[in-house]
Order: sequence, then structure tokens, then C-alpha cells
Amino acid sequence: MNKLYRQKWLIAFALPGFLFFLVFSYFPMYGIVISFQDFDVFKGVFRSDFVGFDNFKTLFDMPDFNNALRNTILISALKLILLFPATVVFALLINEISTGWFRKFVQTTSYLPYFVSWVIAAGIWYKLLSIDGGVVNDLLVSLGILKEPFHFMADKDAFYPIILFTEAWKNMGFSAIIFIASLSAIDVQQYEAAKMDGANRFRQIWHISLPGIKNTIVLMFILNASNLLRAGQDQMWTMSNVTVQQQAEILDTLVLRYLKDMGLMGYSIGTAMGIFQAFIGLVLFIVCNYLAKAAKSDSIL
Amino acid sequence: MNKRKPDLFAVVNGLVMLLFTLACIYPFYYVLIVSLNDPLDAQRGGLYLWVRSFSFENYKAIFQTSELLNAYQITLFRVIVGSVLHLLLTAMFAFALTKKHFVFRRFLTWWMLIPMYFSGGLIPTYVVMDMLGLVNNVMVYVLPHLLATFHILILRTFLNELPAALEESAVIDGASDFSLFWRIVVPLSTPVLATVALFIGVFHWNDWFSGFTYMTSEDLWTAQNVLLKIIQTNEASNIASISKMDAGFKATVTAESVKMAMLVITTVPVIVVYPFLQKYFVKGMMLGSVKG
Repeated sequence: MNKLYRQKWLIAFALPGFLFFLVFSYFPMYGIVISFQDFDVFKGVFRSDFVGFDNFKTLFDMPDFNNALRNTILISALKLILLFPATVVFALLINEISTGWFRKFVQTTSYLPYFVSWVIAAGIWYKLLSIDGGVVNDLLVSLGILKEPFHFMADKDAFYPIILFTEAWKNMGFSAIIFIASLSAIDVQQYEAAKMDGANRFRQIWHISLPGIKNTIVLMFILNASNLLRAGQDQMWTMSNVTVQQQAEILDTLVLRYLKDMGLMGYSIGTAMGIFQAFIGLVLFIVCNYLAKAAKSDSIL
Repeated sequence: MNKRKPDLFAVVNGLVMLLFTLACIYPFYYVLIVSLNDPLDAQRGGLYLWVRSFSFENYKAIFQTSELLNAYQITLFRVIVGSVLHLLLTAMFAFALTKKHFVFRRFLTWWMLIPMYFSGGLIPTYVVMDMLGLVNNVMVYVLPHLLATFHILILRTFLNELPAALEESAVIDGASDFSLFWRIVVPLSTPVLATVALFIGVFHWNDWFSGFTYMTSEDLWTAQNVLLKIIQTNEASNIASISKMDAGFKATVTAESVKMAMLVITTVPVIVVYPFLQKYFVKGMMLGSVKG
């Protein structure tokens, strides 16, 4: 008791944190039980009837859910396959700039868009891509590429390219930081030696730069891959509109829609969706980490 | 990193990078010039490089609309109150965790780490917030963001590296943990506290999700929420028409132009702290990736 008394300030300092996690992290974890219930708001979390895995069964028969799952995987996979290599290439190209101030300038401006919210990003790109007076349409028409302004934001086929483009615009510079940092750790003497041996710039990139950051690439790829079921909630919610909703619906936005629009009816199903997403995410994380170990790279666990 | 003579590759690469830079900056610049141009003149189009007919009408319209002012006030409230409390609690919690003799140290370390990997998800969280009376309550902007495991980890790493001698001498002088915290730990950790302040400040400024999820009453929305609604609907035309009435039925602003001005107002604070942001975020990202 005396020991506890002597640590009274430490206990007092840690108490708000203890309560914070209890209320805002552990209470909701308990709330997961509602996915196994026929949740009734009047009976509450503690007294609603249990229905076993019924909600999960319902889930897999829902066209909405299957569409959202398909979109989620498609969008994530596109981002991973196209934007991840693009980010590595971008880092390599920045690394090739030999003028110090210019490299710094490019790098610093490249992550400006990262710091504004997707609300702002969406507002800006809606304006830039608009049909009346949007810069992009004006430019394409005056260059003769388009005959008349194209309604980018209301075209189903244009939606995924726009999503990929805006994602690159917003996040590529920031994601490149980690690669640029690990590139700068490569010993300059290696490049000198390669030059003596007559290696040109591309051979230097291929034989020195890339192997030098291989571990980082593998690690970041795994981290990205384990987020396969997170396709970018903020982006999807802010960039989409009624016309493209079928394409833009992902698991996160569907859960949100269940909460906002279906009211209490949607709670159990919505929670089940969340659990499905979290469970697959965890499995992916473990599998990816195992793969990384198999590849004899650094492990994150 | 290595010095080379400029060759064709360097020139092409330089140009490509310059284009990329332009693509990052120009959209912001474009929105700025449209917002500063006379709204009716802007409708003629062709505004690309500079303001054609300078005017503050759009900004005036915003400051005359009470809903928007109210939203910005709520944003300021959560940025200030939310960030200050977050910093205080993060520092206190991290400080307790760095004391090796603290009885609950191991337990609390696990207590904060587990939520990094598992969460209840959106709807169970909503149910809890509802039970706590936080739905349609401005405290929902502050309370659920009082602490973040990642920020505690950053601070804990920093505190662990402080020279132990400083605290030891204070303890010999009879300082309690309380005065140790306020007189030694807080002043010494200002650089890392600044980092966390920027993280959480930007989060509070940018977050639209809380308002959208927990506020059914639009009076309690933040600027981001109002902006999102304006972008997704034609709400801006209401502001334009309100301001039209003020001006005696003479149209002075358009829906588009007001939207642009709102985008600028909501972006400017981020740009202002950007020099610090980019420095500290990069540092923080490194810390995070090293620690995993």
C-alpha cells in the first residue's frame, strides 16, 4: 500500500489514459457481440437475442456487400499494382537529381497535397475537372485532344482512373519519403566503383540503387498488401457522387451508409461487415509477414 | 546523392520533376486566383495564371454567412482544446510508462498497444458514443481523440533517451514525480511535443469523419463537413443567394466562387504551418517506421 502511495503521481498521470482506452477502445471491442445478435436498441447490447452466425450468412448473400467487396479489392489491387511501383520510380528519379536545392524543392512540394484533407482534395479536383471552365477540359480542348469538354466526374469508366490519379497526386510524394531515406543510406563509393567499371546510369540504378532498397520495398509492399480491404474510405466518400456510386462503394463506405441510412436495422449487419474486414485484414497481415520472412527480409512482427 | 555532369537524362529528369512539382502546386494556386477574382467575371472562364479582376466579394460572402462562421468556430475549438488536452494526457501517460519502477507499467503498456491491432469497428464505436451521450455533442470531437498509441510511443521513445542523471539529481533534491514532470520532463521535451502537436492539430483541422458520423445536427458541423456538403451538393448556391439578397438582389457572388474561397480558407492554415509540418512529419514517419 505504501508503495502505491509513493507512486500516487504516476498512477494519477496514467489514470486518464487507462480510462480512455477502456471507454473508447475496449468498450467498442465488446460491442462486437452485436454482430452475433439481432440487435434491438431497447434491449441494448447486453440483452439482445443471439442469432449465431446468421448475420454473416445474410451478409454473403447481399448483392450490396458483394459489390462493395469486389470494388474494395479491385481498387486496392489497382493502387498496389500501379501506384506502388510508381512511388519507387518516383523516389529513384528524385534520388537522381544531382542539384541539392532542386532535389529538396521537388521533394518538399511533392508532399504538400498529403497534408490537406480529402475534402479539400475532392473540392479542388471537382473544380479542375469540371465541364464549365475546368482547367483540364480547357487544356484538352485547346490542344485538340477533346472536341468538347468531357464530364470526368460523372463518367463510370473515368472514375477508377481519376481515383488512381488523385491518390497519386495526394500521397505519392509522402509515400516516397521512406524510399528516398533508404536510398540516401547507400554508400556513394558503390556508385563511384560502378562508374569506374563503365556502368551507365540505368545500370547503376538497376544494380546498386534497387538492391540497396530491396528490403524497404519488400517491407512496404507487405504493409500495403495487408491493407487490401482498406481501399481509402475518405477518398471514396469525398470523390464519389450518385452517378458513380456503384463503382465507388467499398466496404468502409457501405458500413457508414448502413449506420447513417439504415438506422438501427443496419447495426448488426454493419458490425458483421466490419468484423469480416478486420478478420481478413489480420489474416492478410500474418500471411504477408510470413511471406516476408520466407523471403529472408526484415520482419515487422 | 552522387555528383554527375548534366547529361540528357538529367535534363529530362529535371523537366519531369518540374512538371510533377507544378502538378502539386498549381491546383492550389488555381483555386486561389479564382477565389480572389470577381465572381461574375470569373464565369467568363479563361482564368489560368493570374487574377483578372481583383475582388474580396467571395470572402465577404463567407464571413456574412453565420453557418459558415459557426463551423469555423467549432473547428477552431476542436483544434485548440483537442490538441492541448491531447498533448497533456499523452505526455503524462508516456511519462508514467517510462518509470521502470511503476507498478502498472507492463500492464498499461499492453493496455495501450492492443488497440493498435484490434478495434471494435465503426458501428460498435457508434453505439458506445451514443450510450455516453456523445452523439450530437461537441465533446465527440475532443474526447475520442485524447490519446493515440502512436503518439505515446513517439514520446516514450524520446523520454527513454533523456539522460537519467537530470531526473536523479532532482529526485535527490526531494522532487516528487509531479514536479519532476512539470519542471524537467515537459521543458526538455518541447521539440517532440511540438511534433505531436502538429500531428494532432492537423488531424483535428482535417477530420470530417467525426462530424459526419456523430452529428445529425448540422449546427455542430466543422468547416470540413460544411465544405464537403457544399462540394457534393449545390449548397454553395444558397450562400450565393443569401448574399444576393443582402446586396439588394444584385448578384455579387456565384456558387462556384464561394466554394473556391472556402477551399482557400480551409487550406491556408495547413500551408502556413507547412514548413514545420514537412520537417516534423518526415521525422515522425521515420520514427514510426523504425519502431514498426
